[in-house]
Amino acid sequence: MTPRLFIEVARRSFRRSSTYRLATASALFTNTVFGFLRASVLLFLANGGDLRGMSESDLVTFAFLSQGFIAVVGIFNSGPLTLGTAIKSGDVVIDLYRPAGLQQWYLAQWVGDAGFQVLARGVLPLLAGALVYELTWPDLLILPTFALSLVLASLLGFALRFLVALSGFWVFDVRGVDAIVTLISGLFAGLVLPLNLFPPALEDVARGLPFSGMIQLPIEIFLGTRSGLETVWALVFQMGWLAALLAVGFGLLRVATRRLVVQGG
Amino acid sequence: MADVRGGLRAAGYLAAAQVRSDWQYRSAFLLAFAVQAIVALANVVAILIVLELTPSLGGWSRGQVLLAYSLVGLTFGLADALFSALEDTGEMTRTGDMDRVLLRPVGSIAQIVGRNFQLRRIGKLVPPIVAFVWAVPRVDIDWGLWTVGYLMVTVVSATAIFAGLWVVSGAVGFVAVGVRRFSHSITYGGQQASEYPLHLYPRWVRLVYGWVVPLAFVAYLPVIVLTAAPNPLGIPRWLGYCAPLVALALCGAARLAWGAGTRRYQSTGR
Repeated sequence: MTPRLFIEVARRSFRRSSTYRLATASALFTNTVFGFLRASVLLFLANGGDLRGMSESDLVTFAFLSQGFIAVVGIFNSGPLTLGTAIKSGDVVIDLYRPAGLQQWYLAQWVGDAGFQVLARGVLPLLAGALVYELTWPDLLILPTFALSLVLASLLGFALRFLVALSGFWVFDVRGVDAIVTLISGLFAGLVLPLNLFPPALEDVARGLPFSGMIQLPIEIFLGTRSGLETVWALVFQMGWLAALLAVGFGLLRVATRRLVVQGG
Repeated sequence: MADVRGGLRAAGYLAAAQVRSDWQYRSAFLLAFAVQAIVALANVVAILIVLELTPSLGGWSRGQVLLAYSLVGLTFGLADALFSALEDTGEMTRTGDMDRVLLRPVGSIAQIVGRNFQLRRIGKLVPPIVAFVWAVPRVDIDWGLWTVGYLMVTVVSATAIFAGLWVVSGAVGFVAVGVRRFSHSITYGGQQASEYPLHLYPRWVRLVYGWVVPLAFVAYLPVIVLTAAPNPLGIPRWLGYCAPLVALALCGAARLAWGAGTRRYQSTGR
């Protein structure tokens, strides 16, 4: 796939996502409401509970910022990655005879959509939270690093969802796989609660899994709770898992397409 | 009344057909059931972690918090399994499916509920039931015929309250296609909000998710009535007996909203 084609596909995906205004607004509203609900639950802990080294404003910021990540990293659904349904319906054939790699084709759409979601649903929950609570704001110098980490988080989400979709070549119904991955990624990315609050053994497990790179690590960079070296490590961790998951996806796709039999018609 | 009976019968037929077809693929069905049970674990895991970190959740014991969770999980799970298909009115309007539903001489709610019935969703009830069994010996309940009756009435009323919320979301979907996620702040948001003692929340949450959306009647008040849990807001105890009335009122309003929605329905002509 040429860079030019990639950009054109991404641009059109951005435009397509931006046409569903009412759906976007209602999702944004719900993301924000959940930000408030989650912030209140985290603040229950401030009353004599163990905050595990986070300040109250860190916790609240975590709640609102992570709500903004949902659409960008694709925690609850695969967004423009409709490969799963395409496999089930057989439309994947059309994807396969496009003059572009199937993985890159969907990646380009994902990137365009994520770009739109950052603008539409990424920032406003945080600003709404700032109207009510005192939040932790980052050092301006760290913002480029945070942006890079956010991009890696979104790509990690793609790599993961791509694997979920590919499972459709082997299992009859991907909805079960999808539901389990949604649960696991929500829990271990830090969307349900920040990983800092997990029991230590579970936290260690969670920090080794790729999901932590989807929400927890970028937010820690934003909050400034990681030192310089730890920040570098977070980025390396994200890149490592990203490369691994993309490679597995690429390999599985080759295996799958080699054994794919399509009935003509 | 004959109308209601006909609707129930139709929903029953359709649901039974769904169950029979699910049962043809037994292993897939059991797997899907297990998936539902596992996915529903997320909520209780979060509550357990929070309980681990704080000595006391607003004066409520672990048993009381988990009893409240189990009531919410059970009744929300039941309502979700039976009625959540109703929220897809927007999508059904878009695809033209709603035309077919409205043309048939059976109630539209009964049809949608019946044909979307999936027994596997009952898997969601497993974690709340386990939590209930765990919590009951750890709270002080004065067991008797009366308590059992109260619990049963509470479960039915609370399920009806959540069901009413799904019907209202569906009704909203008739008016504006694409607002499905907006309703999630009431349905799923309501589930999330009612899992913790109401008095811990800021005022506006208590107002919205306790009384405007009357979820205080689902778990908060019943746990206070059953276990004499601390009640720092000083809510009168008799309100804890009003769940059936609230459920009736909400379901009546939901029915009216659904009717108004179907009257305003405009086919997309597909």
